[in-house]
Amino acid sequence: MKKLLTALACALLLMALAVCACADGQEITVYRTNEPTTLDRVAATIDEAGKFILWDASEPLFRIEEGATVLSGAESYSYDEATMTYTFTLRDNKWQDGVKVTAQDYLYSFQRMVDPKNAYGYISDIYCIVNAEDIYAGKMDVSELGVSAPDEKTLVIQLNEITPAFLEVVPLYPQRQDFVEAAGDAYGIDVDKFISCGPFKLTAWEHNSYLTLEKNDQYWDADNVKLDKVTVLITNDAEAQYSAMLNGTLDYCRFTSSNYINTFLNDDRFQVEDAVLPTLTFVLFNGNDDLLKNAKIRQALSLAIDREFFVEAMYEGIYPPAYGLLSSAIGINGVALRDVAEEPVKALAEANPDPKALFIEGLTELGMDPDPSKITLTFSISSGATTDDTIALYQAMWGETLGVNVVADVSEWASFWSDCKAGDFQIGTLAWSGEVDISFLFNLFLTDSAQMPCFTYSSEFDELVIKANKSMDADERLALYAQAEKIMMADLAAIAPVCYRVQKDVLNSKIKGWDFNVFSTAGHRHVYLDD
Amino acid sequence: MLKYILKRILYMFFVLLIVTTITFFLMHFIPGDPLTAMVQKLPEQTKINYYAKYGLDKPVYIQYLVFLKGIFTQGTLGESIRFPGRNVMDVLQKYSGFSSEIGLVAVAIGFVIGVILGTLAALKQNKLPDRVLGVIAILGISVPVYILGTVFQYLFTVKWPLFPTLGWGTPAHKVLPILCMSFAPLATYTRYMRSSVLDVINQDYITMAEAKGLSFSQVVRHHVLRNSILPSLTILGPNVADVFTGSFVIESIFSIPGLGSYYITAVNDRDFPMIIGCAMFYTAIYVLSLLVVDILYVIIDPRIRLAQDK
Amino acid sequence: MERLLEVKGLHVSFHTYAGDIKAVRGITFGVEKGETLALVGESGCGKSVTAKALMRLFDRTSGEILPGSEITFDGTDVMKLTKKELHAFRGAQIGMIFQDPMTSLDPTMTIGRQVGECLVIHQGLSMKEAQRQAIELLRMVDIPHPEERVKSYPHQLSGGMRQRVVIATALACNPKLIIADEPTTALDVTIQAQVLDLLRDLKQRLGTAIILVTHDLGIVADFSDRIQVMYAGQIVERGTTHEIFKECMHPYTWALLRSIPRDSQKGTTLYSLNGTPPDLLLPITGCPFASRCEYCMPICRQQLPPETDLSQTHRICCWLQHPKAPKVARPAELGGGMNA
Repeated sequence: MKKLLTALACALLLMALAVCACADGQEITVYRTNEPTTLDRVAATIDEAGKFILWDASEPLFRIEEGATVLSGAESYSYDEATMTYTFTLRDNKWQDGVKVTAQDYLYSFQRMVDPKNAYGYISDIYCIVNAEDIYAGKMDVSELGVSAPDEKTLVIQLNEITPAFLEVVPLYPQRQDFVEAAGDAYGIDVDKFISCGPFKLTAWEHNSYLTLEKNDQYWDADNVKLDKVTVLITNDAEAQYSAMLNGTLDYCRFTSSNYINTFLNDDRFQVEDAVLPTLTFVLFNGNDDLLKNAKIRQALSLAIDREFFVEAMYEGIYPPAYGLLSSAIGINGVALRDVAEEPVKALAEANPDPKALFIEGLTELGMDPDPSKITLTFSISSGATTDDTIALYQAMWGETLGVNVVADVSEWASFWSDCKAGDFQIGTLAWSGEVDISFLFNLFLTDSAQMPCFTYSSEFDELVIKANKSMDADERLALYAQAEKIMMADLAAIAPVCYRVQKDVLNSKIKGWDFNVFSTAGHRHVYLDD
Repeated sequence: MLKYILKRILYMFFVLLIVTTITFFLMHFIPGDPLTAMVQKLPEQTKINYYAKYGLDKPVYIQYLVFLKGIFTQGTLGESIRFPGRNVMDVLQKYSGFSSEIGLVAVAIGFVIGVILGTLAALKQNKLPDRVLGVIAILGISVPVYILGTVFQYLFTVKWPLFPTLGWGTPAHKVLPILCMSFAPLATYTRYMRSSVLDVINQDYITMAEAKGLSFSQVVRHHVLRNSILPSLTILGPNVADVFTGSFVIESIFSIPGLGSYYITAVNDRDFPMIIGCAMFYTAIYVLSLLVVDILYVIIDPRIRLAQDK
Repeated sequence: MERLLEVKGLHVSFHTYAGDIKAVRGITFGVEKGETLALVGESGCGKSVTAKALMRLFDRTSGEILPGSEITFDGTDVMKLTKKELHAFRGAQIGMIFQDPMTSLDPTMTIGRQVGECLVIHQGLSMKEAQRQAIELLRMVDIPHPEERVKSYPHQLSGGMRQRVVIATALACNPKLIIADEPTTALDVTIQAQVLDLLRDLKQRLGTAIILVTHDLGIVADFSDRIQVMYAGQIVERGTTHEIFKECMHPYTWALLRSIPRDSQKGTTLYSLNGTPPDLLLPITGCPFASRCEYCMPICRQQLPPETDLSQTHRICCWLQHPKAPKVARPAELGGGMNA
């Protein structure tokens, strides 16, 4: 009897092994819509695709996983409030060729970032580091930078101002000096011109077609990385992605239209998840315009937008209507602004049930003819697939509720945005994405930032935001931001929020460990396939 | 003949120079530059450093002269701005190669089969084969390649998984793109051939050939084809030239790393060196194709003599 | 002695959207070895169609040689030939000379190749060997410098030269019969004479039979042995050249001959025949010439006239030959005379 049971157990074990061997190895295929411009994290033209690859092919000191900021390349750190200095202690990690990762590598990356000849685009993110700005402007030498590596495992960064989102925003990536100098301008554009110290290494790159990442055995946490291979396809066509998802070529896909989603909803082979994006679609008012310089006019226009109707008509109701600046995706270390403050335009709507009357009040204040039908608004929009529908909806909404005429001005994105920034528009519409740093969207509206050409500014708003930006107390900051939001969106109606965006992620149902958070920089190191 | 070719090549350089100049200045007059197209928030200093790095802070005519200098002294078209480190010439070479792999085969299929079908249609004029081919021709010309691509991709990779959905690398990856791209040329050449064969077949010399005792297939091969192929050849030249810059649509759908997507991306992102490179490349190939067609004309139809012979 | 060519009851129709055009309506005739026969008549009378039908050149078009037609060439039933046999037959047994030398040669092929094509197909020669023979053929048709001419293209030759090339092509395989379909119509008068001389010379040397199709009676006098006059798809009168010119009895033949301008007519209005040929779509009851005939009788419109032999070689198809018909004299300028 015992012999029989043993034999049976062996047989089962063998079968299990066989099944495991037969099942596809731990390999997944994902995609990006654009070819990465480069894998040089501090290049002038580094783009989202490049950053995405680097989550797998490099090891930053910290990562954002499931919304929280966690240690990764750093084993521990300390922050001294008095001197505004961070001290990081590095883990034992190696590059894919076996060479140790040192603090020097992280320092080298910072030095390249501030090099004026490099023309790094996101430089304002590290202006908080001592002397960074001056070095980048060519006024100081790079040796003066407030970053140092006293020994192989210690990195010290000194700031010149309080930066609450430092760990989330600043790129804390290492680079190998010998590799970069050998490759010169071509660093990061090909497999043989790049080296990885992250959970995966780059093994193939067919430009405009695909990249292949394979597990890096030299990674400090290699034992916990279960995937052997990640293939990243470059494909920009929604139908192609759909087909690829259906026949298993892709293991993950992101969709924004319900046309595609329905096929996957009731299919056991797939799992579908929702995530709200930090993106706000809004209407931009030119506060310098003769008509729109009046706050009531702007408020009326904002209230006259039937947001529920709009999202239903444009997006089949997938996107949530927006009455504030921040969607529920943005907050501080896991607490969203929306958790503590109601969207301000809702209250504005309750206080002003008749947008048309408000509009006429505004006209009167301006000393203009109080007849809205005499007003023709110019609505600027950049060309795209939904342009015509959008124009029609706004014409309908403002036409019916306020009685005004709306003419459209369509141009290609670059021209549209140039005109907006030059103030050469009346009303425009666009979308803007927030970032993991909650202050990002607020800073756009600061009087001296010149980021958002709404030309409507408020010193009260500025004060609140600046104070919030300089506090390290999460609760205090959220309260201040909430007040600022109310001023900009309701009291001044500098812009009119319209809707947030939601993404639907479809995955192969065997995938586990996937991080759906929109700000995640985890890469694929926790992902694995399990039947 | 040699003198003629040399003269034409000289003209080609002139045309290239003019087109390049016009494109260069036009490009710079359209609002936007590689920077505005890319990064949304920018401190002033970034702009300064960036423009200095790529020479965009100089007046346009100086940039033009720098560009010309680069071509004549170093033989380089510069580096892409959006994709740093990628040499424009290398990109053109490599990716036009991929594009043309698909395109040339598609045009070849379209041409050969189109000529055969067109001849068939003409010989069976107004009978069933002719009518069926007529409908196919209209469909081939009218149905946009985007629809064909998407439909084929779904049919042959999802419904009946016969080919890889997208990507590049094996011959199997090329089948669907080539199939999609060959419809339009096939339809075009069918129509062209049909009408010129109909013209030719009613000529006296065809009856004379038959009276000599040639079988019908001999008549078609020796007399009909040569006389009716000229109009099709006329459009073959530009067709082939087109192929090298790739079909953006097909490349998007099937994720093919071809020149088409590079070109369109470059224009959208105002990647100046890339735009100029592609424009020059296309012009050169196009003018060359015209030259080739002209020479082919002379070879095929002895009545046509080059301008200088008169 | 068996005749080289026997045609019995040949009907040729063209199928069009409007209906069937009956171009040839049951003609019967023959050609002896080495003989020259002229088919004359105005445009649309069916003479060209008859000529082409002998080689079944309508197989590809909307034309059809109706069943019941018999064509026998040198003992072979042409109607029963398979496609392959037909191709071997054309060009080798019968050669054809076409009307317009400007369009009957392939503009993209050298004349050497075009002349030699026949030899390659029928005698299995290589193109090189065929071109060598082509040079000799060109010499035979009096083309100067044939060694250089072989490499020329048609557009480099004058009209007369081209017609000679066409003749050379037709003769290449030494066919027993040559059909010349209006060979001189497209040429100017001086060249016409040259080409005819050439043809006459060749036929004497080679002994080829010739069917000459023409509307110009002026050229057949010196050239042909026998003449057949066709009208509306039927042969209305046939005979030796002498008989047709001097002893013709059909009113249509008279009209044709009277249409030839003569010196003696100087100062008077030229003769022309009124009316137009009948519509070949419709069936024709009676004599096809009835509506234009000066001498038309009621019976002419009702019944097709029977054939009457005026001599062993002279046959006519006309009601005036009926014993009960009135006696009609041949017009004076044609010599006068009456039916017997």
